[in-house]
Amino acid sequence: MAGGRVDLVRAGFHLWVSMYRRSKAALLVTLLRTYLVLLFLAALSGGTSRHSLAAQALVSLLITTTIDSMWDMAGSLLTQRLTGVLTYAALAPRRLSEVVLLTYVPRYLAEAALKALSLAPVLIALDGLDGLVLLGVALALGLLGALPLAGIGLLVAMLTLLTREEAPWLDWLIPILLILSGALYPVTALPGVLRLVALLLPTTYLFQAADLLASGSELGRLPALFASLAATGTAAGAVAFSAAGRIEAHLYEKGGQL
Amino acid sequence: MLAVEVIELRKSYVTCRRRGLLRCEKQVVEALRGVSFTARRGEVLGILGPNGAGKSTLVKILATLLLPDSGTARIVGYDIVSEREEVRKHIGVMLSVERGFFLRLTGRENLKYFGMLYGLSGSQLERRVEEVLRAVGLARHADKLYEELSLGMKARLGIARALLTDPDVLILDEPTLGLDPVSARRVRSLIRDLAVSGGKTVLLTTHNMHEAESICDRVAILDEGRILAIDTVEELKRKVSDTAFLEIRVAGDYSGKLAAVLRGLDLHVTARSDGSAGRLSIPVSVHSIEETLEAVLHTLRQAGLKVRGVSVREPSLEDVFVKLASREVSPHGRREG
Repeated sequence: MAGGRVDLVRAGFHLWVSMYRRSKAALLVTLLRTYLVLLFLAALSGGTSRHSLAAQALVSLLITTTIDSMWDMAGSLLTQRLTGVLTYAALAPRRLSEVVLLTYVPRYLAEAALKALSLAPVLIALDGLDGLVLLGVALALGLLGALPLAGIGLLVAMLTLLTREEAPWLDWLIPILLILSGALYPVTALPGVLRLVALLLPTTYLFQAADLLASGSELGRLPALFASLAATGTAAGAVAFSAAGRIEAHLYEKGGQL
Repeated sequence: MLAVEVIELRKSYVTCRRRGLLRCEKQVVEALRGVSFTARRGEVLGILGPNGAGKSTLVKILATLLLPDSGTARIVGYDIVSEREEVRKHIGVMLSVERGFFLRLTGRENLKYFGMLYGLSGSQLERRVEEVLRAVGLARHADKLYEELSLGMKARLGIARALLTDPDVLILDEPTLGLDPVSARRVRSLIRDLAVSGGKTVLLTTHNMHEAESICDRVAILDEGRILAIDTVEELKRKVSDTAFLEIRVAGDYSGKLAAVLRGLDLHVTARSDGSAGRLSIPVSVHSIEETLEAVLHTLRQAGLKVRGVSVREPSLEDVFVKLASREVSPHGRREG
């Protein structure tokens, strides 16, 4: 079919390969980003043992492949609007949300792989082959966890288009998401209703899995957490994508920033 | 089948006028107030109007980027609302000369990206990108970064993108805005060629009268969301003004003779000296230019005067526009309707 989903993914691949060929600095920043977060985590925890460093490296990968996807998705859409590219992307014979999401997928996959690759030497040095296996598990978790978050990023970016402002919605949303998901405090410390909300958030399972990976204990719980993450992630992604579609329809009706 | 058929399109926007920090006074702005027209295959139709006339709203609706409040439009038979995806396969759009591309990609890379978005792939994509680059004369500059291209090249790259899917209808919003005269002329020539040789229907918005006059088969004059008139430039001129001027240059011993010679023609003639030549300016009805010219030339020759040059200055499109727009203004200075 002309203008099919595969074409959109291919277009995204072509776009980001071309971009990175021209922007070596962007490539370097992507590779170093995991080390910046690792440095931050090490400074926060104060632990510098081999085990804690390896754990923090895994958490760094999870953070940079999940939370970052929200920023990237929203940022990509807004950049395309500012450069006027979005108008012509909207002319593709598919939904705009699909175009934005699917052209972003190759960038996400490539960057996630690069980030994992950048940490591989550290994990091999600290934990040998076990480190590589854990890195693979963390990457798989990250890929799964990014699915709903990219959807939320898309939704936020579409909201920004609708309100005709560059309001920093994510500045508000991400801390709330982090608190509710138990990234900053245990979920058990939350009031009752918020604990229920936490159960519905895919990020809760993501951070629980990150805790397991970091502690190296109860790794047998990982498959269950994977399943919960996949289920809630698919649901959240579907809701976000559907809501983005409604906003898109509203944009066509009201003459938003296309 | 008509390439473009627009029937009673209407579109209003609600804008908010701030009154203090929290108060907002809503205002309804009618951007389009029942616009109807058609365009044939291979025709260049100019939508001429001042800023705020509704041109961009009309273009966005036809490009399926905005939904109308009421009315409808069909592009090669497909409805712009219910068959949006089909319409997109048959249109090529350029909404801005300078924006709409990735700055750090080359022209070729940008075209490939948009080609893929629009459903081209493999050898078909490669071939089409090369074809459109050649068509707009950018083959030699295709590997320059977009940010390194001149404004004229950017405009042509925009047209190249619009041509990627070999569409039946091109929708171009002010395609020469901000270009230098040479680049603008090149873009106009390209557009004209696409219609004449390529058989494309071109809808072109502009507020440049010269542009409309030079490349459009017909012109629709849009003001305050309404089409005031739509016709060929010649017909529009005839409709609003029936006076043209015959400008005649004569040489020889003309002083004192001209007025006497032409008195018999019962025409109001102004004559002035211009060095060794004289110039006559004769107002005539546009309906009788040929007959009057023949009579004047005959009389001048009989009087022994040598005619060095003849030109006809007809009312300009600008005259047409001003006259049509002023008709819409009531004696109190308010637009009617």
